Amino acid sequence: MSQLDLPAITIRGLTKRFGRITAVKALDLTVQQGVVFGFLGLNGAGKTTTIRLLLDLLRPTSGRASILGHDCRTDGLAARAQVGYLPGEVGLYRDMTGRQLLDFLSRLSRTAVAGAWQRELLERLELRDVDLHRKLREYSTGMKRKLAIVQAFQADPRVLILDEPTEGLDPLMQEAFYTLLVDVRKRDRTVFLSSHVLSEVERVCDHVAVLRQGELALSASVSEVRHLAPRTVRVAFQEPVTLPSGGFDASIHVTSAAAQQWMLQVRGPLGPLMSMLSGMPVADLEVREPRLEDVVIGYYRGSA
Amino acid sequence: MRSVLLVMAGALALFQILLAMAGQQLQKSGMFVQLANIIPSFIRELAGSALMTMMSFSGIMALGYYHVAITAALVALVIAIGTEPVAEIEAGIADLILSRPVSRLSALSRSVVLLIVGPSVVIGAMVGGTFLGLRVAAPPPELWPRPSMITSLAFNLWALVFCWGGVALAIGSVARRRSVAGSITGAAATALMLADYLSRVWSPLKPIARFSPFHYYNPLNLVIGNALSITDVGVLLAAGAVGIVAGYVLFTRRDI
Repeated sequence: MSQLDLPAITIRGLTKRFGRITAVKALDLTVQQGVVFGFLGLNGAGKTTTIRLLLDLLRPTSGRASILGHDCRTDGLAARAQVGYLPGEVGLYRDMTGRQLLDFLSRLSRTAVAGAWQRELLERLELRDVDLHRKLREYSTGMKRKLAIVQAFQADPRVLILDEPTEGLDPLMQEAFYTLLVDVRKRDRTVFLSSHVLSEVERVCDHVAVLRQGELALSASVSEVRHLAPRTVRVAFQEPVTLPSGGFDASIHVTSAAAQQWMLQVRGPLGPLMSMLSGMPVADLEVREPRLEDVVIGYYRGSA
Repeated sequence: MRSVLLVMAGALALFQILLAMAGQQLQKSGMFVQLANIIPSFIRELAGSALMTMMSFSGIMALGYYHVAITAALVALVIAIGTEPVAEIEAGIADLILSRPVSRLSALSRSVVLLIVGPSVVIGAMVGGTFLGLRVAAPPPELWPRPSMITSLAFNLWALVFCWGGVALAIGSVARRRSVAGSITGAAATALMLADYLSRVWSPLKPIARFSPFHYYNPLNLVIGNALSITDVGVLLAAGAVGIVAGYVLFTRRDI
């Protein structure tokens, strides 16, 4: 199998216990190359623990993980040579300048950092030369986050592991980051990101997995996940109508039924609803497509 | 850390120069003889020749190598160096380093090198300050301390500090916080120093004193003209090396 065919990340039976607490339980997950993979879960679900196991910062209780075919534990140096990591909370040397930190970290990567790419990253994230010459203790939270993004991306790694990447960024920088992800994906890079912001995940990710209490609750493409949720349909009528005597098709659930407006949830095709509405004095019809959040919240609660 | 080392080296070198100048003044004014004469004879007998040797120009020059404040400062320095890895873990900096293709061995080796080089720079500066002080104060050559005494004191002190550096590194390699690792090592150093000190006058503590690194550091023995004990130095170096090896083993196995 050539390296191009290998999954970017493979996790098999990964378990991590801290004393009596099992943070990750027998996790099986595969992330193909070239995708943006969203890793979701509530606080304490085990997302960061999983990420740290991938990076060999934590040692697994059992199970294995690999990055581009390199075992994270026994071949960790080769695995991490392929990775750019953005931690959820970034610790920096306060007495270094931004430039010194980037140079120091680039020396630790096996791959040479292309100056043009680094400059592009800095420009996109609006980190100027004058900022880079300041000591890190003078940086705001947002600036530290931007610098941390640059250090993760600057060696152009094949796999990016990002923990809450847009935390602390203003809306404009969030947009810049999303654009960066699109470009990075065009370069066939794999992005594995954990986030609480479901709208962000829905926007940038191809595939999501939901972790609940250390176990995998869901793993599917974003479009598949969306289709697990019903569409919300609002039907407004020109005059008061009564509910059909024969009831509704099984795919339709009535949320509310006022005299001139119905709120419905429809699973699957809209055909049965449209057939039912033909001949009725429909004034307006509004269909809201399901959101990732509509499904994922259910998995968070354990009701799905 | 670089600035701390340079400041300590400079301060201790200056201290040695000032000691030479103060010692020369005391020697010229005959103060040593006057001090010796006012000490009761029974105290002179109890303290032995060490006391009289200390109250000489040579003894004053050696003071920096066994003064408790200077020894404590050097031990504190190596505790700071040895607990740097756990500080980086606590601060999250270790995540950025170890998420790269950097082995834990090489990450820890940086601290090990500093444990060797750091005290060498500081104690080396003290030795330099000692000999510079002799040139500045310019006492008669017959009063100069033997160069072998100064270098033996320096090497014995370095070995003691190296030992504590190894201990600090080992404890830091398992601790979650720098403050905990530093406190444990500092408390151990204080307790074992006191145990060794008290064991000289209270025999029940003698078995415990054997476990104290300070038991293997006898500067007054060197000041009165005895040779450096290779066994003592060997024990200190071995203990430091064991600490470093333990640090490596523990650090490579721990969760970051």
